Amino acid sequence: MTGASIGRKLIALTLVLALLPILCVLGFVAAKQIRDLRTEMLASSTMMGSIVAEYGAAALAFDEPHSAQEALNVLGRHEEFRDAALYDMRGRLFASFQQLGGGKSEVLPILLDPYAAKPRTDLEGDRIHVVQAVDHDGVRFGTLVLHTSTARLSASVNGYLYSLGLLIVVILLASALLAWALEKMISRRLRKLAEVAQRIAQKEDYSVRATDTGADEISLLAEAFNSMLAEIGRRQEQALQAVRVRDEFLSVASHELKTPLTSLKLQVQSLLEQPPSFSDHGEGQRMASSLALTDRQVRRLERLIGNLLDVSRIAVGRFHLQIEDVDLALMVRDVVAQFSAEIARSGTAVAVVLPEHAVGRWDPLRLEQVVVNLLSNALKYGDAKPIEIRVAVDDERARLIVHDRGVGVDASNHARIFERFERAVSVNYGGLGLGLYITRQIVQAHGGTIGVDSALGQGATFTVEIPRRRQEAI
Amino acid sequence: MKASVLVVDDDADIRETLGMLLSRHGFPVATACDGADALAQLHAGAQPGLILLDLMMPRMNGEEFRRTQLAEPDLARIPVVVLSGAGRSQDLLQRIDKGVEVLPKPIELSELMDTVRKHCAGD
Repeated sequence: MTGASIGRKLIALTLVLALLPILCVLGFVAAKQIRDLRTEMLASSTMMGSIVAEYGAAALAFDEPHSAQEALNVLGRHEEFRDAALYDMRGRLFASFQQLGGGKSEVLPILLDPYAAKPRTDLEGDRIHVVQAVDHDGVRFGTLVLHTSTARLSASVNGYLYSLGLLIVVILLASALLAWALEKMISRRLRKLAEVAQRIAQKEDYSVRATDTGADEISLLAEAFNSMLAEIGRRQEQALQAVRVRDEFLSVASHELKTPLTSLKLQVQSLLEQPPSFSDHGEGQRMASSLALTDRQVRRLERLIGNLLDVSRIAVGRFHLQIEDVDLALMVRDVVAQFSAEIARSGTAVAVVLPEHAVGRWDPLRLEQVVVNLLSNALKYGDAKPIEIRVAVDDERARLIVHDRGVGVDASNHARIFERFERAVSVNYGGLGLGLYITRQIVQAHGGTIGVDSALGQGATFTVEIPRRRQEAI
Repeated sequence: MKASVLVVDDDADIRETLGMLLSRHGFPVATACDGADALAQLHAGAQPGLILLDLMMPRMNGEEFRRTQLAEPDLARIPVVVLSGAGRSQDLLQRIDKGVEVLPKPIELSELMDTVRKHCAGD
């Protein structure tokens, strides 16, 4: 049954629900009626036997077969009396009656044992068999045998069976009609829903929608189904977007790693091809500048790989701070000094406004990363225009502001630039798109905030605020 | 006399390295930090024997530069060798521009010098 379609189950259910009570009630009523009828027929046969026996007693006593015959003939008025016979005490047939058209007569010419014939009334097959003692004032004169037809009883039984059959047919028709309606209301709609699901599974087209205009549970299911489809479509789009971001990132990362590697490789191969002689001053200088450039490339590679490692550390939640006393003012001065060569090469003027000290409880290496990232971004996107770095402190917090006048970031991209692998400007600017993401993670790990104020072509101001003492449970 | 080489790359270290190596081998070198800069130098009358072109650059990238160069008959004849680290944009360029030569980063010194000599050996 569990394998049958819902339509079939509904038909079965309807049939059982409709047929069972009707059959029970009807069966009960019919059985009671038939039993009552049977009891009544047995009683009326017995009574009739008594009446006839009463008349028969006088006729037998005075040996008047004629009046006995008259008494028996009264039975002819009722069709159900088939035959009757009156016997004397010697067992001889005294008088008999046979219903017209009543079929084969069962009247026996002689009653074998008149004394043994006990009065009784029995249902035997299609007739009621009545044996009645014919007596008067305790003196027995003979025996009456009466047969009554049970045609009325069987007609009644047949009538009940017939109407029962008719009822079953009517109920079957009604059930079929109901099942058809249910099939239309439920089964067909469910099947349509399943077809949509199948079509989607085959074609992977999540824009397909189930159409069900009802207002019941199936429509609810169709609606839920549709919103699930919308969600799947959205997730698929997200997944595809993630793959696009990853592919672009891999392309950018390989470009970024190969650029310093190119300089490195060319410098080393050049030194191998023509080793400089140390006695020559010019050659010594060539060696020195080659090594300086080589060293710079190694650092760049180190920084790129470090950033990649940081991102994977953040991703697995292993990003721990080593807190100690740090002077942010001193740190900014150091970082600007580290970048002096790059600043000079880019032709950018960097103005630094610092308090004497800006001491707080921070992770010095991580905080330096923040300063380095913001400064190198300002140099990279600053369009060689002047850059300002400002540090301010109050009792609670330290503030680091890095302001450039370069390409800027459109307001719609302000949130995006702090995400992994994202850059506001085109891919042509190079870089992994990790710097601001890592910067924000470091600032947040210190319990601080980072924000940007910028418009396209108007430069950018990045503001970092961090508490000077680390709050608990960050 | 050897023809000059125009190195177009947004990476200062690449410009410095290539400039140093090429001039040590006797090739005059000019550098540009992106496509727009290179185009400006060409319009100002520079006539390099070869352009070494990076693809990913701000303002005007290598692909845009190449398209502009090919559109100007005076500049179109200057041979271009693409220096590229990213497979995808390199494929993209080669699909639209079958004539372009590519030296994949990281570049081999010997290949670089062979390529430059081929175009700029002079007389």
